[in-house]
Amino acid sequence: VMAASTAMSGTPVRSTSILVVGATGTLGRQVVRRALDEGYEVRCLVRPRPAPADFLRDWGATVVNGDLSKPETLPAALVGIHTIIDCATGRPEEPIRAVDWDGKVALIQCAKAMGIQKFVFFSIHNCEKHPEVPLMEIKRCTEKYIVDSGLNYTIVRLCGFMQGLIGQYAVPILEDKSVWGTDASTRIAYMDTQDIARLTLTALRSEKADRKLFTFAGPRAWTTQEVINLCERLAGQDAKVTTVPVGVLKLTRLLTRLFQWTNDAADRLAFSEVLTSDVIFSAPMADTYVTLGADSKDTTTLERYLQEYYTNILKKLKDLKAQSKQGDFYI
Amino acid sequence: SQAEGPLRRPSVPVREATPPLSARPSPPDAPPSPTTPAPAPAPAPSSFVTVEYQRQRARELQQYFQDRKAERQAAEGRIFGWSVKNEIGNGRWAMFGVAVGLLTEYATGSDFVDQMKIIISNLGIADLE
Amino acid sequence: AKLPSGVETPKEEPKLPTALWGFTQNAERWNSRAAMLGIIGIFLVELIIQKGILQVIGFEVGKGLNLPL
Ligand code: CLA
Ligand code: CLA
Ligand code: CLA
Repeated sequence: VMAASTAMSGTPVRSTSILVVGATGTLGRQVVRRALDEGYEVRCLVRPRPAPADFLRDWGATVVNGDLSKPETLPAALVGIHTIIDCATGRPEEPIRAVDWDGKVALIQCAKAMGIQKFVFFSIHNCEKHPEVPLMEIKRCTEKYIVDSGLNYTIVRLCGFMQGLIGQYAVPILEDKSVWGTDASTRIAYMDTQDIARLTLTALRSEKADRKLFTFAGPRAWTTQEVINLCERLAGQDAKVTTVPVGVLKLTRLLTRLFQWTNDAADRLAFSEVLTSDVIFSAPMADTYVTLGADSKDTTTLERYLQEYYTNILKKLKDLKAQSKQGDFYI
Repeated sequence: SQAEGPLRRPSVPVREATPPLSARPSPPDAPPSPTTPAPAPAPAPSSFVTVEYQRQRARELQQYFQDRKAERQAAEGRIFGWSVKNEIGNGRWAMFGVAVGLLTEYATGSDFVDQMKIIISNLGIADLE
Repeated sequence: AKLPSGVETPKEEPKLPTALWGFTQNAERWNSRAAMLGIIGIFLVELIIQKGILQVIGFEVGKGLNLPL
């Protein structure tokens, strides 16, 4: 076959070249940062914007324009790439299917055809247990497609990000704004995205991570009430908590499903089904740490994370009487 | 999202500058990381793919995606034919017609066939009553 | 369009829930299909029966809409 003969002759693809999809996101930027620190050549796939976010270029990564919902922009971005790390997902106001399914299918097809040597995919913990949540169903099918495709993959299932808690709880509590909580008793093992990035890059270098599925969970699983209490304690002031019963969330989901234009919001609200099932969203990490050769003591705990955040940043903001706009949803 | 600008040319640096196989590209200088002494990526054996191969496959894939997009646009843009827009459009007219016809029949007592006859007579096409 | 060699399509597609209730695209489609069948159907039925269909059902026709206009 023509492919075999030309595959061997020519400029070899550098094994230190990584393409990060979703590099502007919470997890993606940490992966880019960590990979750059460790000496990889990082290429970032971002959507073209009139006002681009330049921080990726300032750090030293190469930025390439592309869009998962326009698959014809993908093949050009993958030329000269050895590894793909996929941290992308659709924004809440965009339909899930176009980006998270059709876009990912196109990306995997490109990876397979162009001989990408490693594909790292981030998925959600327990995604096979909740087929009624659209994003989880899509993640499950994507995982299956990756496994079937024959790529050399590493799938990492995640439980939750600590970074999200800043905007949701830490900042409003400090600024005396009201905070939304649910009465659900689900416990989620939040994890620092920097630790996720560190462990992912360790997995990249280890052969024991080839064709394996990992679950990364934080050191401890928290309920929303516990998180709010922790923030109250660290901020030194009480929170104004508005408790939303999970039934209201379910009702809102039903209502938003009635209208076409709110269907995307309804898909996101489907996570409320997960909240009611009284689950512990966590996984045992002992084996993972052994396989990757990492130490569980290096992983940041939520207390330490929030403590650092409060002392370093937020107190300064409060002293300057500045207001942070981290609650803005559409930015 | 709506905040898109025009698609800019990808700013991938030109990689042909690296001399082929004779001088293998050495692993990049591992920068002494200020945070943690992370191990530099091991000088890997040459990958099993070449850039030229990837470029050729990229061209094939790009062609495939563009063909698929053109097919989809052709299917959607058809005026006469079995497309989703046509189904919904015809359905809307039909829904409207059913509702109006039933209302008129309730109000005036002329059934659907009579209504058709009246329209045709009043439009001057034929004299049916 | 033909897929390049060595690439295949996924075997399992995600089963996303399609809402049947409310003002959604799926609801509009089914209503439109029903209406299309309905309008042709009413025509044919009325041709055959030679009476109004609402009369057959039992509504009193011809009284006019009592709209206070
Ligand atoms: C004229 C309007 C119209 C149009 C443009 C479409 C178009 C479409 N339909 Mg729909 N459909 C229609 C009417 C229509 N349909 C009606 C009335 C019904 C109720 C029986 C359906 C039931 C239906 C189903 C159950 C499905 C479709 C599907 C589809 C899609 C696939 C094409 C196909 O195989 O269709 C085949 C269409 C038919 C077999 C319907 C028969 C067409 C009618 C009876 C004839 C109308 C023409 C007639 C001569 C008009 C005379 C009017 C005049 C005298 C006043 C396509 C978008 C499929 C889909 O969405 O896949 C994704 C699908 O699963 N259609
Ligand atoms: C397309 C819709 C449509 C049509 C064809 C009819 C037809 C009819 N109506 Mg009905 N009606 C309608 C809508 C319609 N109606 C609506 C929306 C209402 C309010 C609920 C009513 C309320 C009503 C009452 C209260 C009564 C009727 C009656 C009648 C009948 C006699 C009137 C007549 O000859 O007008 C002929 C009308 C037309 C030829 C309409 C032509 C419409 C064209 C085809 C489309 C619209 C043109 C478009 C706007 C122009 C675009 C131009 C383009 C170049 C841009 C006749 C069967 C009377 C009757 O005696 O019933 C037996 C009667 O008492 N109608
Ligand atoms: C049961 C039937 C049904 C259903 C489920 C839908 C559903 C939809 N339509 Mg559709 N439509 C229908 C019948 C229907 N339509 C009919 C009969 C017509 C012809 C008049 C249209 C013409 C139409 C257009 C032109 C457009 C839609 C659009 C839409 C979509 C968004 C609209 C929306 O949320 O509006 C919400 C609706 C409201 C908030 C209004 C509610 C009205 C209430 C229920 C009562 C109205 C009573 C009225 C006075 C009775 C008049 C009857 C008269 C015919 C005699 C949605 C998928 C839009 C779309 O697809 O955008 C992408 C769009 O542009 N529709």
